[in-house]
Amino acid sequence: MIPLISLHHSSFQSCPPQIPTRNRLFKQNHFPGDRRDTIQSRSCRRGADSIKCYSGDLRSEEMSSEEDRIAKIASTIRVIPDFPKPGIIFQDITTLLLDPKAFKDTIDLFVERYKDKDISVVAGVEARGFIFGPPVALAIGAKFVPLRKPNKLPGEVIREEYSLEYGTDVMEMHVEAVNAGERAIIMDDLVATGGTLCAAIKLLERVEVQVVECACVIELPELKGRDRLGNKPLFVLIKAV
Amino acid sequence: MSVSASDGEDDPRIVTIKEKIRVVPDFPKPGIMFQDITTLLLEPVAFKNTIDLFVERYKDRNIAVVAGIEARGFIFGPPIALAIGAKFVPLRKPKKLPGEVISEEYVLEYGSDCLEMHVGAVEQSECALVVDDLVATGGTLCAAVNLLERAGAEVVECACVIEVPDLKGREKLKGKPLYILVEAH
Repeated sequence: MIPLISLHHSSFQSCPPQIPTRNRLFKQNHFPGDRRDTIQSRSCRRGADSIKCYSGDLRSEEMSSEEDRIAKIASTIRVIPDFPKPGIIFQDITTLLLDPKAFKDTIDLFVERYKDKDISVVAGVEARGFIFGPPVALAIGAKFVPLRKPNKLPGEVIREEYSLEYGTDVMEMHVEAVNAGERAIIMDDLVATGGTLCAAIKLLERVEVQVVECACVIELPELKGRDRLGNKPLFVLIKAV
Repeated sequence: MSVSASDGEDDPRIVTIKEKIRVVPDFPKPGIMFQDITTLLLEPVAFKNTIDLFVERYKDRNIAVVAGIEARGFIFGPPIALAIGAKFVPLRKPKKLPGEVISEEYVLEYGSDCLEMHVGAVEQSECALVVDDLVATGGTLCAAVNLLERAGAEVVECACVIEVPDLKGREKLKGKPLYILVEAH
């Protein structure tokens, strides 16, 4: 098995320049209380293909700083098997929130990406999107708009129904929170099937907001949420296999 | 219903914050005047000022933990935690947190509810702050304080944007300090 660290370096050197997306693939084999150090401790069952690293237009020292931060962030996320039901491997970001440096780095990585993009709205999906969205909104000078479960928002709302594995759910937004033509990002902790993010995009687009990108800490690529979002860009820090 | 600054000080930031809070009558049910902070969140300067007021108060008090109550405490707690270098600990409705939790039941007007926290999120003797958008009867804040103290933390203060003083939440906290920015009468 190829050790992860040399895999990292070889893929880094062979990266084509000027690709804007930076994603990082980590296999997570974490248990509660396990805070082993980042890259060296990880094993990667799938070998070379599973580490994807793209160069943007950052200098090499900036890029290694970004990768270092992402590696550290990934190491703080706790994986809980069989929650909320058997067969589901739950990606628990609450352990990330217990590490002030990792939490700050998480926010900084999003802020660095969005601060000069003329974003006036950060929409966050209840409830874990409420943890990441507001700090990003504050740092880039945007409004924060909560997207909520039914009957939580007072006053006039618009609703979007979306499918769950069994049944449906509803997401609501205040009609007057946003103006036509505003540029928005949507934030949540994790994207799985993409159903929730799709509903959020629809809500904003129904009132003529331009959704520039969806931003999550973690993606579960096997659940193909990215495909479900179609041509809507998705930015994540970590892909979990 | 009027919203006034908490201690008569005319910090200009508090004046703006109170103006941005929307009062929605008869929500979630007739007779309740709902204090809606979502309109505050739409004003970047006022939202930043809200956080700054709390950060200025807590940054040199050795606070290791900011605990926020689901869900609106998740909006105010994390920015404060980030600014003062503390952990953020979410206090959640039942069955949302994975892994091992401790639970605290508390009384509602009709029936009861439950708040949960992860085991191991806080350590013995850590100084903690509890944050929520609003304190009314104090039931939720009390449950939050209990959870943290059962885990061995020392709750230094509870911090909310709004207090509804007529509902006497402050008394329910039995001397645990409560800091708020605006009162709703």
